[in-house]
Amino acid sequence: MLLSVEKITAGYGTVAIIKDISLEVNKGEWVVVIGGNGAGKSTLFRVISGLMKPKTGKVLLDGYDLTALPSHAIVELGVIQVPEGRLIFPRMNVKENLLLGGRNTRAKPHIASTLEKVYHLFPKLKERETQEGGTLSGGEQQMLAIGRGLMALPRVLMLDEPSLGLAPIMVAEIFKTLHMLNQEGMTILLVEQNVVMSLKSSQRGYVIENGQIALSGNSQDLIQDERTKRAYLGT
Amino acid sequence: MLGSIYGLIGLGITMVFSVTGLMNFAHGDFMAIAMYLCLALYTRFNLDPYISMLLVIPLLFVMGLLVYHFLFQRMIDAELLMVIQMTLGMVFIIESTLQILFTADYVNVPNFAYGSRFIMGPFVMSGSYLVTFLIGSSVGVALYWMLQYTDLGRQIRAIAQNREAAMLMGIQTHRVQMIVFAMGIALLGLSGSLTTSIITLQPYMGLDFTLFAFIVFVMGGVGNFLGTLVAGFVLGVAEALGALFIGGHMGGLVPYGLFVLILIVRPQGIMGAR
Repeated sequence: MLLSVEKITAGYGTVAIIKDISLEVNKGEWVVVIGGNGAGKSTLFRVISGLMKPKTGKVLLDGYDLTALPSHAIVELGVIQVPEGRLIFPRMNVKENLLLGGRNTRAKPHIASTLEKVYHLFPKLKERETQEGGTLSGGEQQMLAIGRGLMALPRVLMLDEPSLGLAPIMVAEIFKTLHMLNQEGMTILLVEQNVVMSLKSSQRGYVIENGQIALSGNSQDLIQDERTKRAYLGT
Repeated sequence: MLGSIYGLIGLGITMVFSVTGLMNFAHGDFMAIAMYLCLALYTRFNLDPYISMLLVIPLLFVMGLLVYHFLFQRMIDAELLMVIQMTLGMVFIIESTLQILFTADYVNVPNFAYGSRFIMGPFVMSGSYLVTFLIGSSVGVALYWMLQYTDLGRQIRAIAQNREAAMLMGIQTHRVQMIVFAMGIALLGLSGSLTTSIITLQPYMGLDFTLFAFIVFVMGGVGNFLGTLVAGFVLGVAEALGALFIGGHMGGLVPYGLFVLILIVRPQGIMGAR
């Protein structure tokens, strides 16, 4: 496996937000983590990216321990997060935002050609090249956030709720792009509340409840599973 | 003509504040240190401040690195009041040390441009003002260019706009914060060396610089780099015109009056966003 999370417990102060979470992502796979608000999905992502240190447990990339590394070293190794709420740089133009994504030593030599690819993938971004990030629409900002992530030439692309606050047509477009990237071999770890869509497009899934893994398995099985249905599909 | 210097001092504060959130009340005292270093080099080795600048600027940069590493870095997530306490403490330490080392006498350090005069229309200007203005404003423009168009500049702006996103881009935030802090202090090395013949040295002048820097910082629109440079320039002009046409204590009030006026008309600062 490419990325594995082993028995991570993390939280703030004495409160554990995620408890004993383990998950795996194989190369070229699209894995989804679903769960409601406050289930601990973003905390899990913060731990993987090194923005927060876990109390116990490990994060491994190709068997190499990332847990103690600072966030920039984790980016260097190719574990790239597109954060919740997009967090684009509002007073920088689209191009500057993208260039900042491609700063790591693996991506830098290819920065010009990667930029072309990102513009090809999202022609809207090319049109808006000199416009400030903060003036883009929500959907365009999400494209920019994903494009900025791709600029880093990720080995694992982690996305935290890319569908949040977007119109259904925009959500469909984002998922179409992710599907295309996955077809081309991109390894994707997606955190979502949009259960149906993310289970339909991914290969495997984990369901988090109250900071713990409640269910896991093939995405198709999870869609059929009564427990997923009860919890999220409202039946 | 000192406007470009006010701009530089203010830009130091603006850059440091926007990437670290730190307010340094001892900022101006580092300029006092720079000026006294020039004085020492002048009295001991007869070095012109324009030459000792080459020594003072790197020295202040290193001083900035050390002070940041040993003091400020530990305060980065602390309460604002703690930082104010610490930096005010530094003010007293620096000012008393300067007084012990150099006494409280008022002194000036001349440079080779000091005696020369330039006549521009009805105005007569000392050469050192002209040099200060030229170097100060070119460094200001160069810094602005660096912030807009270089990788380091983009990293600085990224941290200022969203620290967490900057970390996710692989930016080494601690390193950039340290460099920016040291650059802010090094700018005072430049400003101090340029003004030894214009501003009279006395150990307690640091807080005055800090006060002026904060005014520039707020007037430009908190966190706005270009606004800070413009505000520094505006204040310098206001000060010069006040001294020229009104003079005395009333003239000295002009820049402060203008500051209050601008805050009433544009509370977000000259170039600040609402």
